[in-house]
Amino acid sequence: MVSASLPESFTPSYLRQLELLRLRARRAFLGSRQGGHLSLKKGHGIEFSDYRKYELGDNPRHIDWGLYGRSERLYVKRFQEEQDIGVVLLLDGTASMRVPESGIKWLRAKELALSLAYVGFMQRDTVRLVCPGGYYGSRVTSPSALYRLADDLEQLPPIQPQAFISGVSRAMSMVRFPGLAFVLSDFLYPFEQVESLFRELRAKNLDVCALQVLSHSEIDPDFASRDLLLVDSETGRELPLVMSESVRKEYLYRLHQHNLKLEDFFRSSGVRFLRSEAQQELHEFVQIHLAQSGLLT
Amino acid sequence: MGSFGFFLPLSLLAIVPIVAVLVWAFRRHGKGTPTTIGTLFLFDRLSEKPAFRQQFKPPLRFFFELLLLSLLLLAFAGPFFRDTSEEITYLLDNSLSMAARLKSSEKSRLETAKDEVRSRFASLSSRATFSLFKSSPRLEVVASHVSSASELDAALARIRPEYADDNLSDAVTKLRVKYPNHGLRIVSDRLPAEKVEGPPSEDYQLISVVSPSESLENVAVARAQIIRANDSESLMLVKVQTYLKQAATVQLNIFRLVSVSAKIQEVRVRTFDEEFESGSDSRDIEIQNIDPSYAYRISVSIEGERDKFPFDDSFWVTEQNSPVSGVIVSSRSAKALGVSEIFGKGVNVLAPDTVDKFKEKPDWIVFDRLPVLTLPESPSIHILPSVESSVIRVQPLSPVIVFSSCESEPPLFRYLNFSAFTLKGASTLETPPWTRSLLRTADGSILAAGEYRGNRHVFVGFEIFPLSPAKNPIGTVLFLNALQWLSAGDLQFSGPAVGIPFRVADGLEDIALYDGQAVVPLSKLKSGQLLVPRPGYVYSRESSREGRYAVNFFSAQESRLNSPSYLELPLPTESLKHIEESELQFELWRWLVWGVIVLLVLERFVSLFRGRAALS
Repeated sequence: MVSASLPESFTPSYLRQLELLRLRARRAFLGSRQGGHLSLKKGHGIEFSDYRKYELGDNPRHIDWGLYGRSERLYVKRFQEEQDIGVVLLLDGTASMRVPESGIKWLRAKELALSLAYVGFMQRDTVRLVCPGGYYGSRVTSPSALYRLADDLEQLPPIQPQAFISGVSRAMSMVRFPGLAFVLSDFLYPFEQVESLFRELRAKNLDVCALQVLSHSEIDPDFASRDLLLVDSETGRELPLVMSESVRKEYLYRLHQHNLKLEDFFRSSGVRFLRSEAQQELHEFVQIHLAQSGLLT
Repeated sequence: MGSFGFFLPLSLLAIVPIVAVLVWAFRRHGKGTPTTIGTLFLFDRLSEKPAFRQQFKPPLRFFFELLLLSLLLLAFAGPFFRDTSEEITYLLDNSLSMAARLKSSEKSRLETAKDEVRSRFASLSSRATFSLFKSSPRLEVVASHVSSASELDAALARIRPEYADDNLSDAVTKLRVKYPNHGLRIVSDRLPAEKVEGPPSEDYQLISVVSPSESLENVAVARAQIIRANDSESLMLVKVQTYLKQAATVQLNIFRLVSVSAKIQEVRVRTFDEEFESGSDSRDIEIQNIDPSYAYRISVSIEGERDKFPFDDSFWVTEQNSPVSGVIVSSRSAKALGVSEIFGKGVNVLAPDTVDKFKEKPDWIVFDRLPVLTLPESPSIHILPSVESSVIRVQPLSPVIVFSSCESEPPLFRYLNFSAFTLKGASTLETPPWTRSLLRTADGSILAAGEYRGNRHVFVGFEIFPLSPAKNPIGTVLFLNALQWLSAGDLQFSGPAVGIPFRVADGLEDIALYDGQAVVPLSKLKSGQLLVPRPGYVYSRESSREGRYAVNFFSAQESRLNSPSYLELPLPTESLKHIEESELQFELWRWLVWGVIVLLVLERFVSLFRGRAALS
């Protein structure tokens, strides 16, 4: 039995702040039960939708008597129902997310995933956390499931890159209703793979949000030694390199180009995109940057 | 002052391939610090060339590892440091001219030279080590590490004027090569202005015992050089060497030794008169029709002067009726040796100078008064050391090499005590200065064993392949040293690492006495005493599974096989110094190895630290 524990940053005050936030979908989806999102389904609710002629069997309480007084015709009011939506959290659990060894990048990715899940629970949404290739969580709605999710992530071993790619298809096959999807990854792999990944998500008619998590050493590399033997954390491949200023500039240029390409692709594909630096304050990023981007309200 | 050197200096050449391999390794595998990053996706094909294609710029780690390997190599080469402060070597010229008397005194030049050595020895500091060599007939060590005046007197008493060609320069050269760090003092009758050839030396001094005004006295000596014998007649070749003040006639007399009523009498058989020039002169005289069944004595005299050397040389010629079974090499007469046949067969007695020309393969060879010789092949070589030390060259790894202390008191081999022993597990009493612990002969085979001046010496060849990590490197060095000593040494003890025999402290097993007439089977040849009423000889050429045996011979007076004090050897060796463990010299190689280990740990620590700090 593993004791349930949340990341240290999940203080009571932080959780209270999360409870005030809402996930925001850019369109309505059909839900399976009553929830906090406007649904495509018409029925009982607060939000007025339209009028319909009274038919035999309609509840007389729904007749708009004012309209009847003006037009002497019986109309009933119709409302948009508020239902839950399905939220899928796709977390990249490959070895590259766990470098550097301090694990700060992986920690930030876990914190974000759990924060989004908690916001979803508070909104009575159905949340499914998936690490493609290694972990496929079930649909959960209760806030108490947050501890179990945290433990599962804590014990998750690094996932092979190929398993991650193939695991996305399996995760999508588990989605029955369209809804919100969050992808948390460093996206430091060839652009073609990113394209194919999001193609599968869009095919499911999901409202997709991409959260890129990068460490400071990836954004601005500053190695202790000039003479390096770089080792790929995922493949073990070695690359001898002299870290000169020109090499550093070339790397930064490549990273910039790669990120520009990602942003263009997400913009054209209708995917909301946000970048997080692992060293950034979690509270600040969730409450300010996520809210400003429209992912949370 | 001290001397620094290496036991295996050639191994230092390995630094070249080590550097090459290290450079190759750094170029091949990269020289940088291993740093794990998320992905190489953005680093692939960067414009900067990979490190191994660039011009080789070694990082600090390269020099660190080079230092480690160099230290290991230095340790393997066996550095040693000896406290050789003030090592003085005296070379005493004992050529024939030193027999002449000085005008100014009644003493001969040699006696004057000895007095000079004594006085200089008395003025030496207590820390100085003193060695004494003589030059004729060849360079020989008379005493080394002399510590007392009585010891020096005993050594000087053994030096007599001897006939030889002028070899003082050769002797000086050899001494300088063998002992480059020793101070060299030459005591000779050469004038100080005369030049002694040889390599230059800083600490060199020629002490002359004559003044320029003095001239040589007349000296003459004769020596039989070659004896060829067959059934009917023999030929004798006599070399006469003179140092004359002025030209004179020298008479050569040949005496035959005959036994008359149990007494030896001399009968003059030939006389030759030869004219010799002033200064140094020599002449070869051939004498035909010598009856080989008698012993002879030769002597020379200068007209009007008494013979300073009435017994120039004596020799004995055997009949050779039976096949050759053995050879005795000796300058002593048959009478003195007291042997005419061994194993019921005749023996050859050869003068030392003729051994080189002996082409047959005798069953055994006995040497007396050893010369510098290369022995003919023989399955068994028995060596009877004389009082003076000698230089021996034998075929390496002869089956049996026995150094015997059997002195030739006539009749030879009358009473012989015989013992054989195995050295399995024995340890040594002496140790070379560069090792801290007593050497052990564990499972090493014996190369040579015997007594030398009352001390038992054993040369053990460790059957160890050099560089084999599982074996003892010290044993390998000893093995190589023993081989070098046995095969090529011109001096008996020619350096700190060469030819160090060690006395056996313990480990002798199963020493017992056997009845003299018994035939000791080889399977029981662990020990025994053989009382031999008739000249005979026993030797072993076998080895068993338990190890190789060496056979030793003793005179009856010397051996005390059953006594526990047998192992407590009473006489100190002159060429060896017993070294207590507390007095052992500074062992550099051990410190080097420790240094390497410390640096290795440091490097691991630093690299670990740097590796973790790389991306944090």
